[in-house]
Amino acid sequence: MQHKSNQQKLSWSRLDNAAKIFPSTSVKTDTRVFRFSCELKEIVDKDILQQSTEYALEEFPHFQSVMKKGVFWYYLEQTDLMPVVELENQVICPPIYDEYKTNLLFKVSYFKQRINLEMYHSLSDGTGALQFLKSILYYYLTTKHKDKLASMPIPDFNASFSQKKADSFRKYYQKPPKSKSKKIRAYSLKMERRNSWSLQVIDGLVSVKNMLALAKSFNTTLTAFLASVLIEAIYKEMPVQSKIYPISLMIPVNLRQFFPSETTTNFFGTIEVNYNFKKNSPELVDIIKEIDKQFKQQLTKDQMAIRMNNYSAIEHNPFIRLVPLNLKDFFISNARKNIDKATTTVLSNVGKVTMPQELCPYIHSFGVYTSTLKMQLCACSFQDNLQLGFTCAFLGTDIQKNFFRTLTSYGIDVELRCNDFYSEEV
Amino acid sequence: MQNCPKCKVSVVGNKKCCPLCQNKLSGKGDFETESYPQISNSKYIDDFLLKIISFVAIVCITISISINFLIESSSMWSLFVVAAILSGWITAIVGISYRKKLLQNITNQLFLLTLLAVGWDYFTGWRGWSIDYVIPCSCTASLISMFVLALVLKFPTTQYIFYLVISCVYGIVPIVFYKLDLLNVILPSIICTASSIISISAIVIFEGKNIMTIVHRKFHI
Repeated sequence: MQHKSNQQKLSWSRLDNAAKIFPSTSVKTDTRVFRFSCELKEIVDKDILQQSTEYALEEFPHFQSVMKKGVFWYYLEQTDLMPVVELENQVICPPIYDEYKTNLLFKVSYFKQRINLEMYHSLSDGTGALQFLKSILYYYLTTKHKDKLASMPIPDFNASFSQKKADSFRKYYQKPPKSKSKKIRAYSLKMERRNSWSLQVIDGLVSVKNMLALAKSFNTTLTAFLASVLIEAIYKEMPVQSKIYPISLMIPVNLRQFFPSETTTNFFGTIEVNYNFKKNSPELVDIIKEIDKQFKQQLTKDQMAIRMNNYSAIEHNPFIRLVPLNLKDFFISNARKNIDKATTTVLSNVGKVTMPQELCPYIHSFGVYTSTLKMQLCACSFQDNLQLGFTCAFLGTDIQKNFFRTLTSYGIDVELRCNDFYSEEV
Repeated sequence: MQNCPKCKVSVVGNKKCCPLCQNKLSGKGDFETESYPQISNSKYIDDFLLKIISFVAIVCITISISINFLIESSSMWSLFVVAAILSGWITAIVGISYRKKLLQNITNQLFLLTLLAVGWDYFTGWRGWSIDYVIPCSCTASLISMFVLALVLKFPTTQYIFYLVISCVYGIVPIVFYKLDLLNVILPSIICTASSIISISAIVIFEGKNIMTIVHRKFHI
């Protein structure tokens, strides 16, 4: 990264409510970095990508920030560091925030036909990162194919700079009534870890049409179907004596669909669905029925508001706010261990990615991956390509195997990509 | 493309086995279509350096204590060796960890070194050299080096001013020692305090606004 100029910028911003959690809880393979990638139908040109990233950054000025430590909270400070596009040469979702260095909180890299945007979660959530990647793609494709796309207008995101960096958690915060919900301990994945601190990626490309038809035949939505298949896949590897614990999936939900917001900082909540195999039947049909019911119960505006306000309440507590940052780090990372005990794994479905009609012929698919301490599944679709990306810190691949075998047993064609098991080792 | 007959999936690239079940694949792989680069074991050089330093420190400590026991001397001289090694170790660790943040590194080292010096002075029969020389000299040195670095490397004001202010405030401390009549030699302390006061007034007069914004962001609740 290089200094663009010596101009002085003084602007800074607080971290939003969700972002505050991430710096204290970035550990080992769970770097709190996520990756969006886009596979084009042509080899990526480095110089054009560099230029496009710089153009796109002008539309998202608050992404040009570094994170610093204050006395009570971390904060983002504007910088004039410029991103440098690189050939992909690191493990997936590598640590981006480093207390000992000053660098941007996102990275753009490329490999063959693929463009990767890796982002630290304190900067933004999936929705914000995806908008940024779309903007990069717009500039990339219109520069690369000037002759054909010259007349294409700049897609308007309809949001001002201040709307983009607004903290919507604060905007919608209402003090919640006191409630004590006890977390149930969930089954925790325990397997031998990979040798190095690197994540294994196994992603399967399937047809959206076929998957939707399959989910429909079970009378459910795609996310609930994926969740159920994942629960079944985990169940098949579960030791008998662990069956007293339910399998619990945490599912991030984009809050913008419930609470209108144009922000590109974090604005997501989570729901939890769980299934207890000791009390319920292990048949996929029954799992789907139960999970579908839980989805419908939780995915309402009222339910999401309660959860959102409960999380925000911590940040609004004046006593907690006055605790020095280092102590906060300690408490938050401990609290995280308790939350981890209540979840088996995370399933994140980003949903359908749309691009302007004119750009679609150049794009093959989108993918999304997150860092994790254990194993995590992310899904996202573009046109008829649904990418199911597993990132995993374990050596074993049995859960992924069960998951994809269930899909193929229903006649779904799966095309696998993986960053492991090379036949020629370097 | 390769296929796994057991999992019934097709596999992109050239794999030695099925990524899911690790059984043999049928069909011919094509290395050219591999969708991820092969990353040779990631190098954590800085991490390695820290490990070596820590290991060497532990070896030296163990050896010196052992020798102390072997040569039956009446004094526990090895405690000094241990303290010296620990001082060196912590200084090296902080220095290496913060090497990418020069100014913060200087500030950290300033506090660390002066604290260690006072500690050594105190436990070796207070001769006052730490407050006579070490504190004022290192404050002046860090002030000068910060100014020079900021000028040469063209840091934006907001990047260095916070550390500069901290060092200046620390640089005024020797006047307290003077007032309390703790000093044997006053020249270094006078130079240090004077240069700190001049620097801090320059900062307040020319960059006062910036200081307020930095205080605001560093202390926001």
